[in-house]
Amino acid sequence: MIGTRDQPCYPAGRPGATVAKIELRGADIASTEDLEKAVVTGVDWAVRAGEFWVISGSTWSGKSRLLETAAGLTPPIRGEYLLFGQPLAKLPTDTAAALRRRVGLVFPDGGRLFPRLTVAQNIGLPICYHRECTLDAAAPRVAQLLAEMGLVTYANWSPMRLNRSYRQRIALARALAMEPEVLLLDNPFSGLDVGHFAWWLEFLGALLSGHPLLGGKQISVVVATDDVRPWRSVANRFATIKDSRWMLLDATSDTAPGGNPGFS
Amino acid sequence: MLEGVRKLVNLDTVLDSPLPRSYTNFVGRWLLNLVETVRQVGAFALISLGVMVTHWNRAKTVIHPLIANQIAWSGIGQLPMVTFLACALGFAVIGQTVALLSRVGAHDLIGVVMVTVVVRELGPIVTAGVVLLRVGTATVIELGTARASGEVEALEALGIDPVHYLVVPRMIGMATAVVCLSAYLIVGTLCSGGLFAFLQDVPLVPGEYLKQIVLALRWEDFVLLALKGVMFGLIIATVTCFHGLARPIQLTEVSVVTTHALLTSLILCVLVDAAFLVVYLLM
Repeated sequence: MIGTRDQPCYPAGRPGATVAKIELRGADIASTEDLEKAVVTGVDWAVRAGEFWVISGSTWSGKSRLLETAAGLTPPIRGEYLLFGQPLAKLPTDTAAALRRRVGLVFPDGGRLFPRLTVAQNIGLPICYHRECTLDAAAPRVAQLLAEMGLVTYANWSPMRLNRSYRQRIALARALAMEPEVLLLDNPFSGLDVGHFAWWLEFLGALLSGHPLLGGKQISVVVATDDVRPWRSVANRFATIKDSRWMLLDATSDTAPGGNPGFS
Repeated sequence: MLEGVRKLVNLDTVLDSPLPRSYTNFVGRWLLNLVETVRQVGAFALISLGVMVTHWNRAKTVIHPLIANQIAWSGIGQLPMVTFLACALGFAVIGQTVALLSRVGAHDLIGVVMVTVVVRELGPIVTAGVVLLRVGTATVIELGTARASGEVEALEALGIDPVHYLVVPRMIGMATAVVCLSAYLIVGTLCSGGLFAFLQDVPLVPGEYLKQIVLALRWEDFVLLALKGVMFGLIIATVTCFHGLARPIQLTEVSVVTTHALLTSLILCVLVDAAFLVVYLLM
């Protein structure tokens, strides 16, 4: 089921709500250049099961850093960060790593693939690493992912031979390889051919409602974008970053998705 | 006031300030930079060794092929160059030694000279030079490019420890390669030296030459040779990986970082070699 847009916005930590998969409380997000300087301030945000978030903001507004923080790669400067209800910074390294594996992150602009590996090896790498198996043993899962992404023909190609639209799909397949419970996508439409938009929207919508690729499990999706318009049909939660401030948007408001708050 | 004093004694502030004009200050600045780099490389080496130990049995199906590839590239891939250098060294050392010793009638010292010069000094350091120039350079460029293009963050996002995946195989591979190539270079040099002596019609039969070498060798030579090889390999791997990975860089900085890595590796290898020389003198 694709989420509806009539759900009210609620602040993080709402009493009675299910445990959030990702939660930031009063968090300030560190800048890439200076880890002590906040690029986004006052983030109160919770991602729960079945939610499809779209976070808008102009270029350099800090969307990517917010996603990296949400994925547990960078700690916030201030405030609390909870992953599946647990404070990541206080956990032992192995426990924290195991929790982080339950979150998939797709980077923008071609997905930061490994150019020395083939397409199949790129997708199989996290499976082989975490499940201690050979690529042959991981082949059925890799083949399944390749088939869903329409990449079977290119399995043994170097990703660098493919255009950015297909590289982005490889990155998506790689992020889904470990069957994450939350999928974070950083500007997935950046540099994509327009013809691929519909495929992405349909696929992500299916992920939200329980795709066979993930055993029918319903996952949460977060998309950071500078243009909200393509996402209006599938997303059910909206937020924006404006002047370094985090703002939750009422999904029922016309100004939220349609008004393209990232540029307002 | 106190803040100003803190800034004054902060090493980073000192190193970032404009280059002083006097030569002694320039040398001082250079030494401070070197010490700071060595400190950072040391910290990076400890982290990498820690990961190597704690992750020893983890992800073997991924890491073992990487180690094998690294050994093939750093070791087997360098055999032709090392063979060429072994021949050249054998001819040069024996040529000079024979000419010198013949004048004073001390042919029986050829074996001792060969062991001292080739086994203890030239073998490991020349091999380290080959691995540094041919593998170390490529490693810095490869890792620097990977870092600049965000592959390290991609590994972290997949829950893969970048040090385990990128550094550990290189450390094991290069240490193994330098030890094995040193042994190969030494054997090659001794053989080519013997052949050259024979061709020069020197009154030294191959059996006597071999006997002199065997008598000059001590068991400590084998231990120290292996230790030296491991140390050189680890230094080259750690320094090149450190410069490639340790801090965020832009693609345009890769060439500068490569030069720094080569220079730092070379200096550290020479310093370690000097430390081993002291050990030899104490033996």
